Amino acid sequence: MFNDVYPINDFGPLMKGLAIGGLGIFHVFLAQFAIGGGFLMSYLQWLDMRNKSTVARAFLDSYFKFLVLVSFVMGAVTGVAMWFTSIQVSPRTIGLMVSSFHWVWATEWTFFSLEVVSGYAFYRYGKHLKDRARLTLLILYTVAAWFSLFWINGILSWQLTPGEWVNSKSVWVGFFNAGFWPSLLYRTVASMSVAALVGLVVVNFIPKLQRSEREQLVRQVAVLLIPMVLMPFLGAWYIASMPADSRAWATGGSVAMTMFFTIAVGSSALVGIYSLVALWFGRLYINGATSTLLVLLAFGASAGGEFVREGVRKPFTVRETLYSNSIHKNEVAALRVNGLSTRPDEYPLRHADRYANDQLKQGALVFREQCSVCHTLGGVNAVDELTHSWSIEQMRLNIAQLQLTKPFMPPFAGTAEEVEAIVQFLSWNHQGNPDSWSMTSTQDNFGTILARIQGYLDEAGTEPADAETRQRALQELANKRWKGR
Amino acid sequence: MDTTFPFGFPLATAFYLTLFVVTLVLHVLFMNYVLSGTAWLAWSIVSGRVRLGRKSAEISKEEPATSESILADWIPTMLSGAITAGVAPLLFVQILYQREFYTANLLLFNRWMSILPVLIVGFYSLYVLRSNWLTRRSALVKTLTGLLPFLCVAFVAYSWTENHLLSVNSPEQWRAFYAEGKEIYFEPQIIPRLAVWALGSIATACVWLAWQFRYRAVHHLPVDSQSISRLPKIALIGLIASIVCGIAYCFSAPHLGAVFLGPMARWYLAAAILGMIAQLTGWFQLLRQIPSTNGISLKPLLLTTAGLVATVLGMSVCREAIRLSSLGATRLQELIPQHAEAMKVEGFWVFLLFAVINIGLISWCFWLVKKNYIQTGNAESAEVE
Repeated sequence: MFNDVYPINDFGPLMKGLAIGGLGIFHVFLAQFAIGGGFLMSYLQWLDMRNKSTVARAFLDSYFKFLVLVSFVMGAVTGVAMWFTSIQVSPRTIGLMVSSFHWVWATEWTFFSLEVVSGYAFYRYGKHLKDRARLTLLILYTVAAWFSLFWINGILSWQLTPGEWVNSKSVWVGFFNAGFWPSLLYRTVASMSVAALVGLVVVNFIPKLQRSEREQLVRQVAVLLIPMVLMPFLGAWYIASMPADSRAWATGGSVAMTMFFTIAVGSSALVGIYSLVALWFGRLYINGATSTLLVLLAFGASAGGEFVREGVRKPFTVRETLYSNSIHKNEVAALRVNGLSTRPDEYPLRHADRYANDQLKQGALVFREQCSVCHTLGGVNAVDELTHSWSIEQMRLNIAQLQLTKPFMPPFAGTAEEVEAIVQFLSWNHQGNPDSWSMTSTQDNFGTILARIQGYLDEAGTEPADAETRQRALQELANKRWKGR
Repeated sequence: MDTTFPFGFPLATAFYLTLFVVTLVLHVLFMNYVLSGTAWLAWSIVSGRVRLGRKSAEISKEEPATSESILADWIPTMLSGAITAGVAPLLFVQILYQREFYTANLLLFNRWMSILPVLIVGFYSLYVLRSNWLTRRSALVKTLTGLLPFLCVAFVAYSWTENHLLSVNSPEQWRAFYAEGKEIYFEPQIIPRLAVWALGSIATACVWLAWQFRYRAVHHLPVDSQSISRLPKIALIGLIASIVCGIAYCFSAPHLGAVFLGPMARWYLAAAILGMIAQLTGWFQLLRQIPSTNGISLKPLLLTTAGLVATVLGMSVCREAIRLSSLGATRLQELIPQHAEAMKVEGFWVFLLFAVINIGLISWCFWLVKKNYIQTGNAESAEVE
């Protein structure tokens, strides 16, 4: 599988990760609402059957049922679209996920089918069914939806904490990984909260309800917000299950990830505090505007959380296996010798005539293969911006020792010649793509330049820079320099 | 490749090929209803034969159900069924032909990035067709809204065919396609190939509709006799047109005849032809019977249904045989170890266990609805505000 070379698309100023990130956040929020909606509908149906609510049935049979239908259809479509989008971003990652867990995915499909059938059965016929049948359908729907989460959660959490799977390749070792249970339980509580918050919005928009009926529904719907008290503990458990370096990104190591982590925690805390203090203990009523604001905060929390979950995996997409740029961890050493641009089945460079010389073409190829998944040239997360203040020699050092320059970057997977090619390519871009550009490869001192770059590459090694490796590499570097004196 | 599908392949390859084809058949049965149904609705709306809005779409106990009202009521559900059933073949195609499938997806990225919004627009426009809001709009808006679901579904169908044909190209052709920055793939067989499936889908939709009419008649719910009497005629036109396109398709790519008559596909081609004959026989019987009985008899309907399943299964295997032959023996030899590797992955027995349990629970859902249904007015309709 890792011998396959895929075409790489260029989306101009748009970063590919944005597409999957945006869709992923949307999908997760909808899917969580669909799962939590099942819990809420089952609970309301049970209240109705126990004569504990005079309005639960009306709520179920009017608006909320339709909203759940919207969410689970959109959830299904966006779920399939996630596959297609993942292929666009990293075919090797999705290929590894499918190859390693296809039976888990197939199992999830059987639950998804049950979810769709029971959901539609309730949607179409629920109004005309006896109470016990209604409750049974809703419980089946909820169980099926939750089990969909169960199976997918195992695959998603495996990406960050594959643990012993890296050596054993055992599906169940990978599936029940360190992050599995905290992530599953956290997402379950999040699902219930999202459904309850949307439910509170809906309560305010059903025109025929009296104020007392709305108050009754608010009280009953808000019950699903109580499990939010567990969120800090489950969140802490999840953070603790992360590898130390990943945890460090979210807790100060990376500005962007720390910011999104703060948004996730802050939004969740605001929703939780309001829900428990005002709605539950204070027994206050909540109006449409406030409940909508809480839904938006919950969306912010989901978005922040998903960004952090995706981000803290860096420099991997599957930890200890596949780097963000789809290069396998075990490929790096060979690519350091043979180079990226000499691989068989390589796709040609588009618009090759735009580049002033062959070295720039090679640099563009290296950029496409190694950088373009996460970076653009001049758009979002642009390498132009990130490197424009560096001198040529600084670029050679920083790119050759990429994992030490920024520890969430993968090691450079190419030869010294390719480092020089991308350095020249970036410099050429900094200068506004002039028509002529001299190749350093034809200069007399090219051998000296390459030897220096090779030295940088050898110093950094081919391993990623987790905290320990980074420390060791820096120590070795210091020792060498000391001996050199 | 030198004996009947899938027996000429090693166990792992045969196993995944079988799973792929079986789940694909399930997807096709739903998809055909949606493809033909949306086209049918679009035609009815454009030609002014159907009233838009909630009342026309609902199926009530009092008003006789027409083909159009049943389609408008059921297409959203069937589209969900098609999407759900489509997940499994999408999974197995990634095991069987990962490089081919991913490469074609990447080369036609604009198509795949558009499918999500297109499907969502198509799905929710079906609900707009049933809303009161639309009844108050101008004729132009009504026409465009009527066409929208079909255009969206047709776009997905075209993209799928385009993607499939590009995926069976050689790596040299992919590299040339990439280098030129092309965004559309075309070859002459796309149109007749798509036409075979699209026109064949009419007969599938008619079989589904016939069962839906029969179910209503058995439960003493009113049905529109004109709609019923038109059904065999529409199905026969669809079947005959599909056969004509099938012949044109064979002529459009000369190697197809050899693949169809080759050892891998010939028995499935025979099954597909026998299925066609069974469908034609069944529909002709219904064509004769309906005017006298004013209903749909069970025996010819069963014959037609069995014929349909045989045709779809036979043609799905023929489609796979074309792909396997286009990839060639050398590429297949590269893929076989990958399939064997995939088969070593744990989890099959867990899948089987939950597949059995969940099929049982899905059946239970149907039973629950049937046993616990309380007869009230406006029986089957799903209301949309």
